[in-house]
Amino acid sequence: MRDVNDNQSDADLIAKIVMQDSDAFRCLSERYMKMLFSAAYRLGVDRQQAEDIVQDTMLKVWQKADQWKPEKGAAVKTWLYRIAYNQAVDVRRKQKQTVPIDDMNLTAQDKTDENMEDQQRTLFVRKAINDLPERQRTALVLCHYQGLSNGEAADVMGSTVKAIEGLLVRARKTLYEDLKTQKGVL
Amino acid sequence: MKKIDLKTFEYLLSVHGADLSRWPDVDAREVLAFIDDNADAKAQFAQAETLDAALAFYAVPEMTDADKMTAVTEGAIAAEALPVTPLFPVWMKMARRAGVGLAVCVALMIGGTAILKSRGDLNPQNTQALVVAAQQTATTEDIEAVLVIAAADIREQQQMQELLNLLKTNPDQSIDDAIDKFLIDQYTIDEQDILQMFSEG
Repeated sequence: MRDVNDNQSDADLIAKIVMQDSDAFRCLSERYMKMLFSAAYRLGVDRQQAEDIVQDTMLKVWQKADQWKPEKGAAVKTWLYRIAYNQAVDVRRKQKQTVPIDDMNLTAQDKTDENMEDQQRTLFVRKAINDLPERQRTALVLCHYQGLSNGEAADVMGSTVKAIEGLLVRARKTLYEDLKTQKGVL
Repeated sequence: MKKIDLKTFEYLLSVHGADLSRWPDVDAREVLAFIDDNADAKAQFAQAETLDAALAFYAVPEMTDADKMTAVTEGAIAAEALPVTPLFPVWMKMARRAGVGLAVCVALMIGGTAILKSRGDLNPQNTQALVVAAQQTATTEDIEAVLVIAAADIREQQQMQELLNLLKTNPDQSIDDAIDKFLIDQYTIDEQDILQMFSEG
């Protein structure tokens, strides 16, 4: 019988993963994979790279579960985000920060005027976010899109709440100025 | 609760945007009342709402099926857990283990390795993946998942995929026969080549 259920806390699951419990690993994976995927993707990599990042992140969780210490204060969620964030930074550095647009190609069935406009907007927004400095982009993705508190984002990025607030202010200001120049986006 | 004045309002708006549920330690009704009474605040709030609406267009594409991704990760974990050993001793070790599915596994390993070797693509990652698949008496789906990670080369994945498809579409055929047919048809490898590989091991 499975000794793991969806109600178990992240910390309990990690404790089981340290003991090589694959059910606990599967449960934690199911809980966080989509969240990590959307964060990785919005940090500026393409879909395949985002999936690779998710898998590598979960692999690291399996390998290094014993390194997560609750007494250090970091939640499992922020620990996962930190691993994924570091990997996304590596990927972007390797690809020299080119903007991945592979997932944005319009498909035949999407080519209604309305969808074209929406996809055009999506492209502009994606590009504008990708063009932000790395830490501004990360703060925006974590707080605005992933719903982390500024404190949690600070944990992920190894920063302070004040610094995160500064990054968010600058990110939003830059985005507004950038998107204002794109017809029909703002 | 924070008392809302223009300075506090502008700061919170510039950090959190127009979604008041993100604003820490404020009473949303008080903020809305403040906006109603203040033209500057109203204009700034409208601007922030416009930006938030634009940011909402940034959708994320669908992720591959989460179950499949978990399976792939678990396959990689299994591969990592194995010691790096030459292929032949591992085969021999497995051959000593009598059990259900052994013939299938060994056949898959031989078949898979032969295909890769036939193209000069044999490498530790591929063979490790096959060993994992065999040791776990895996289903074809499991093997596919492992191979996605292990075979960095798309061509290798395609080769394995062809073999797996052949196995799936011919359920009545023994796996040994399927592999023989596949190797002979596709890569002109015969049993002698496989035996030769064993002796080289």
